[in-house]
Amino acid sequence: MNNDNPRRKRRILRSLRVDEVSGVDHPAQEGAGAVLRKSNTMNNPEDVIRDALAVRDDGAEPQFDADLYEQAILHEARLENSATETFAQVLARVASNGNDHVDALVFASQRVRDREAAMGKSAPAAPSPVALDAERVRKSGSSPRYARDDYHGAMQEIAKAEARPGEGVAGAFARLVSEGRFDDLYAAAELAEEHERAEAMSKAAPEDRFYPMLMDLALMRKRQGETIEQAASRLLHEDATVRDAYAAVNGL
Amino acid sequence: MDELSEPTRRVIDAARKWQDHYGDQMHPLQIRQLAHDTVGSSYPAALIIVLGFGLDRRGERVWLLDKGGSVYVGDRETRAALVEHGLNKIRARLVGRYAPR
Repeated sequence: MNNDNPRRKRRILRSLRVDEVSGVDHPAQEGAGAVLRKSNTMNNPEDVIRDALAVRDDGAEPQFDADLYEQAILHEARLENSATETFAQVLARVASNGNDHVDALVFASQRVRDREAAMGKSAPAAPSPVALDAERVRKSGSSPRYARDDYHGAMQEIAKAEARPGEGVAGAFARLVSEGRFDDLYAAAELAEEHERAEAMSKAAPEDRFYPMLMDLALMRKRQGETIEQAASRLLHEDATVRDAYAAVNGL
Repeated sequence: MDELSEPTRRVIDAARKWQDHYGDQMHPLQIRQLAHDTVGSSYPAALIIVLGFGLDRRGERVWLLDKGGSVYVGDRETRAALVEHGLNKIRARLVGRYAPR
């Protein structure tokens, strides 16, 4: 069969019901393939396309989620599938060649997303490396790669990114805490602090009682960006009481 | 009468949600960062209400006692926080830098 025959009109079957797909050893049509995909049968793509046309041309209210309009775009692309193009190429072609259905679907999808953004229903921000590390710590039980302050800073950034209009950063923070969105970061921060303390303590002589007290004090009073050891060093330099205690313990 | 502002109350609410959810207190540096990003809120006021202590001019923690001395004479919200915490600027006192109660 010659598909390159210019006199042969290309036909696209749009309403086709397939009841059975069978495999055969020698296909009658060279290059023929069958692809099975799962889709949401609750919403017929034709209905979604009709709705998108109404949204674009008549100013009607969108009846579906943005995801459904975008699924219908994929459906349109599948209808245009050809043996000589990858699916990505087909998708690019239908999106750029003025396909009326695709144009309406893109319009309706964007309308829904704009509306969601205006109502504060924006998509969550992409996770930061620190947040991804916290997730890794939870799943693997391995050591955190960042300091406690880094995990706390990541919470702050998430709250800022996901604050809804009128909610403010503090409101978003409270909501995200209640939703458990910071659980991984919290656990990783606690673990990071334990590791830092254990590392600092490992440098003390076993019989030294002053050093654990100094570490506890340093932990309480460390400033932003300081390690526990840096805080301890600062206390020994700046704080007369700590200096006196150090001198007394060491018989100075 | 001095009162806490809405932004400060939001910061306090977030810190209390934290405590309810995780069972421990939010770190003061976190509260400071949250207040910094919440326009119109008072960090020392939030700190006093949530943790019961404030910071001195060098940024060190100070604890408050129920008699004598004076730690905060600053802004309106800090005074309100002291009152809400059961203190006033006359009764608030710097008790030491080393021993949290």
